[in-house]
Amino acid sequence: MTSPATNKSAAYDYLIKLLLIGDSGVGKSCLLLRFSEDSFTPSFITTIGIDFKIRTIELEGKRIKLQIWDTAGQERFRTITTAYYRGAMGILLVYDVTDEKSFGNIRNWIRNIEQHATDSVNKMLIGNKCDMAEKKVVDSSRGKSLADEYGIKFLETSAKNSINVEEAFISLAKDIKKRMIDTPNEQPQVVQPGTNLGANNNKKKACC
Amino acid sequence: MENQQPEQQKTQEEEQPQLIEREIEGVTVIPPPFIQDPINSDTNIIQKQEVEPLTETRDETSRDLLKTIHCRLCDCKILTPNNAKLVEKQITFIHKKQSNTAEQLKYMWFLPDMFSFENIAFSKDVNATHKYLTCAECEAEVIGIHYISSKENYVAHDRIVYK
Repeated sequence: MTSPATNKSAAYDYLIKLLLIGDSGVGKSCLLLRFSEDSFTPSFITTIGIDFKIRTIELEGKRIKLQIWDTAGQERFRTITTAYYRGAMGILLVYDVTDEKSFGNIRNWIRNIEQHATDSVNKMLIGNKCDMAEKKVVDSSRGKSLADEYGIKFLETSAKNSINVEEAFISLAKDIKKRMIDTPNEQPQVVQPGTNLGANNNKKKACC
Repeated sequence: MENQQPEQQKTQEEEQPQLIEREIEGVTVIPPPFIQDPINSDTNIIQKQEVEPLTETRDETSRDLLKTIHCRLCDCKILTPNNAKLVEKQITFIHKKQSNTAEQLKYMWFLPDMFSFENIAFSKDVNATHKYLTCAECEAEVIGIHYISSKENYVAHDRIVYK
């Protein structure tokens, strides 16, 4: 680190806030975990629940801090409000490929997003648990079709086998970076290291 | 939390908004559930006898972290050099498996800014005053704490490994 004088060491270049939303039980929380035996032993933490995680990734030579919020516990569409979406730069919509209903509800989640989130928020559709081939009821082509209909990217993941999990976050972060920083058409803003690219990243609760 | 200053506790209570269900733009907003700290008067608290971290882990003058801190269970990278400072502060953390036992620890790595973490998970608010920190990849045990009002973060030396 070469800036001991500043409060923030130049430990990262950009901060990006992401939301994970979708029905309960589709495995959103698992997308934030690398699978390990220990993660299935009952832990005190699971009784409280995770609010958000901070992850650091390298993207095109830049260090990106991802702050990833999981909406576990607020999974009825109507309970997630503007306050919660405020500041979100990207949203991963997650369904379970073995659960037809969770796929059907993606349209409801998208409607909720359109109502409360920033218009320009980047979105990605995630079909989770793709390793359970024998129980799969939503095939890839249907997931792809729905994503195409809304003009967003699509990926199938398996948190358990770490299939495409990191790729999903990197892909979304790349699109956000491109939209907010790299696009030459818009006013090119000078982004200082450590600058929060969102308007307000301090909102942590749905209401207060 | 035993460590909670009575003054701070009072301030927190006064500041707490009234959490009721209400309509915002036609959408029903349900208040977040209040989560009680599992460490309470019934908890068996063990004062752990800790050895100070090895001198090679920090700069002797500034006490800045010189090593990389990892999860002791899954090896996830938590903190990189120069992003934390060693301090002594008595903090009580629950044992890994849910039980009524907790350990009082004193050697802590302090970070004023949560974004100095490389990878970390923050729990939901506990007692409306703090969040517990756990590994972002395995979430197996509490390894630190975040105080909501001061935004200070502490990671317990006893619950991590150095590389």
